[in-house]
Amino acid sequence: MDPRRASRTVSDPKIRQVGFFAPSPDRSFSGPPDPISTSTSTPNPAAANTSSPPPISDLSPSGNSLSPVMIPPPRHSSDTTYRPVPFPPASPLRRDTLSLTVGSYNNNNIIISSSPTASFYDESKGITVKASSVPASGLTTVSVVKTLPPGFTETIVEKVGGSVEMQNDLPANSKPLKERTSKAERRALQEAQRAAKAAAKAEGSKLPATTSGAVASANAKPSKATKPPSQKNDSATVASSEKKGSDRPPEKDRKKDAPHPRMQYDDKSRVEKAKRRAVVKQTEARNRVELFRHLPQYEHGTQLPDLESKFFQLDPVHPVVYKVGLQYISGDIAGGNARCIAMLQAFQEAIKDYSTPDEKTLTRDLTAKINSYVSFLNECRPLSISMGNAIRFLKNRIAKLPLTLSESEAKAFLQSDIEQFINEKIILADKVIVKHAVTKIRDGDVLLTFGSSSAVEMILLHAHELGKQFRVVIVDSRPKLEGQLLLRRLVGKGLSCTYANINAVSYIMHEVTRVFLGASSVLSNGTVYSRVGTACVAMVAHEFRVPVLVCCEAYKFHERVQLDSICSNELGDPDAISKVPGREDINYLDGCTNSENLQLLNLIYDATPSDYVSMIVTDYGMVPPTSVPVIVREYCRDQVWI
Amino acid sequence: MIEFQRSLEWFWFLRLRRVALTGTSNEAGEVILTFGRSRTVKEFLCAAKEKNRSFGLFVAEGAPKYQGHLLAKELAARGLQTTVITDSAVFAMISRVNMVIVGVHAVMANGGVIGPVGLNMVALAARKHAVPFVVVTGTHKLCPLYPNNPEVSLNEMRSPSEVLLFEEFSDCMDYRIGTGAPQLHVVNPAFDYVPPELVSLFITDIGGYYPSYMYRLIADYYSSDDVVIQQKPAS
Repeated sequence: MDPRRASRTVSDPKIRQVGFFAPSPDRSFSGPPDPISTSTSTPNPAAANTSSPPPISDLSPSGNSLSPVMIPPPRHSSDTTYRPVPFPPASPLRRDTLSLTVGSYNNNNIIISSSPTASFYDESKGITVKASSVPASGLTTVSVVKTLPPGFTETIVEKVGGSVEMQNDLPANSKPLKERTSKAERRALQEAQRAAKAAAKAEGSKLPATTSGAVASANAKPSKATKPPSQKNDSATVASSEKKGSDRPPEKDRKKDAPHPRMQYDDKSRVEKAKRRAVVKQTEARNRVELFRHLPQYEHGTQLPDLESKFFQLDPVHPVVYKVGLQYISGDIAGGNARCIAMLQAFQEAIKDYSTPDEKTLTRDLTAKINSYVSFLNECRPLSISMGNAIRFLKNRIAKLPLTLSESEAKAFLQSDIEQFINEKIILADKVIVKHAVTKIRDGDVLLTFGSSSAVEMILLHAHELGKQFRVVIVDSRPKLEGQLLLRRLVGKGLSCTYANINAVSYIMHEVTRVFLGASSVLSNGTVYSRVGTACVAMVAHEFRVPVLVCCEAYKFHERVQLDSICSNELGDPDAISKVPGREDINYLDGCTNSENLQLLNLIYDATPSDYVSMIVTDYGMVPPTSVPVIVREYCRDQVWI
Repeated sequence: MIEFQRSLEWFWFLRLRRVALTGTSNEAGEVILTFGRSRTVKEFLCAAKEKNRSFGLFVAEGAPKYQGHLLAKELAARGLQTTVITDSAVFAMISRVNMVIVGVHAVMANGGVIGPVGLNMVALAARKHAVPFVVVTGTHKLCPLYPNNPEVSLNEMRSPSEVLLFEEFSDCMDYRIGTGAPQLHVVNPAFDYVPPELVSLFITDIGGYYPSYMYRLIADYYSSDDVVIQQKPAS
């Protein structure tokens, strides 16, 4: 293809910068990048230790901190305590950051504007179920959680401060950490325990809480998939004699936990086992696509009335979790951030109402309960990768609770931990992403986005508020047609928008200058796992030499790798393909679901290869796709959840 | 119909040789991807089915006309194993496809094709995964024009109501930006241009050809008056 770019804005040829440099915010955007930022590379290691935490510090307007495209070095060495020490210095910095951004980009504004939109939707009688309810696939916290107190921004500041105080207390009475026992030793212990448990199953006597408590304090950090560490050093018989019910969930869910919801559904025995302990009764789809036999395919629409009737009877599942599960099934909550936040807030409620049964430890019993909730949610709708990461974080926190805490204190800690996770990893991360990405938008740009991503929407709105002149092209695809929701919100805010179907992307790409995409996750080989159709858009953009920027919070990164979209995906309702909403003349496929030769395939996700992505904008800065495993390794491991 | 039969014979002649070499007759066989609905492709595939070739088929629905639904229904009725996918899933599925066979609206003199909107995306995905992109066409679709800016000059813009429902967005039609231009545009082109580099093979009723050869056929079917523009003498 001929390069179609005639003229570009040329930076001053005398100053040659190598690498990416974002211009500092107080300069005009056509000027050359700040030459001071070239010197940031050398003093970084020194700067990182004094100014903390680095990912937030580069927001300060002066150029003497990290440029946003450099990954700050991790702070491993002295930070082996599970509560990272530099929190106290962080909070004033964070408060400044919050006050900086609050002025220009206020959550309150978003709250106010989304509710009239929602009511407007009801009035105009949106056609799809999703449209008539909350425009859920849009902004994360705001559109979903209507119960947010109006003083939301104040709450963030208080909570950050409050949680900081609590964490200062904790290191004083933290348990001494032991070196990790080798895998072989743990495995041997587990085998012995399992054998003894099978032998002692009839007893059903309880494990004395005190011994397990004392033992738990001496253990190393647990990995996410193994049993709680308190059992490791117990004698075999004592450890094995647990009550059956609470013991089975952690054991059976271990299989599901290991790479989160990726059970292979072509293994008959496993499918049978899963069905037996399932809360949600799913009927399998009759007409399954052969290529996707390893993924679950269920009839949609059958679970919802059944579950609704059981709402008041369902004992093992907390009602708030149940409600969230129903919202997943019906599609009211969609989008990675929204689902994750809804799940975490439901867990907060569940933890608040939780009380430890007699002779049980809080950590193990609560972990078992959380596991059961997770498997329920997984049955409602397969977990997204962001949710998987959040669950791993929560279980990690539960397991690390010091056992000298009383139950109410432990619950308060967990609730504040969840709150902090949501605030830092999602809300604050989005603000940082917006701040970085807005520097990439210039006057006269034509920006293309696909579907509806909460991060991209925030970027566009913020850029519009800053007064930049640009046009937006929204590319949409079947069957979800999420782009229409985004279109309505953007047009309501005054942006000039063009709407097109994904087929027209080759036509429209001639005029596009930048492409902004959202992601459900970014995998360790740089592959972007996102809504189906993203790969097509990125490919065409690459062909026309248009830069593609993927905006993704760092908590969504995962160490998994994937080469294509087949080995792991989610299958949606096949009937959504045969029905075209609003076009009654398109009814060729009515009644064809029973034909044995005809199958309908409704993929939800696809994998975009990393060579189509120019840059990933995260809360750790703007990085190339090759830096994703670095971030996963240094920042998303269990002990360093910064 | 005769043209279709002949083109079919050419194609399977090329295929048969390869199959004969490998010695196996394909069980699940080939997997073919097609886009939208082309009657040529439909006859082609049905004739192949009659010759007892077994193959699986993915049909991309081809919004906003959704003719792919109709094609899938017709082919399933004739006994072909068909799966309907959305256009957005083309990149995801094309890694499992052996061949892309499509019909087009017109063939340009440079070997490029004008096809239903979305075809360029399919062709790019096919090139990325090294899947042959085969265009089945009759010679009557050959055109002596060279495509200059084909997205605009050789395209047709259809009604936005096929893409965006008027009832839902009627209120947005009145919004205006500062200069008085409408705030909401909807783009609904009917055709797509696929450059000749992306096409692997043309199958016509007179045989299989590489795209760079197509201009020779013009001489057979068009008088030179159509092809060479004579300057009118100034009067």
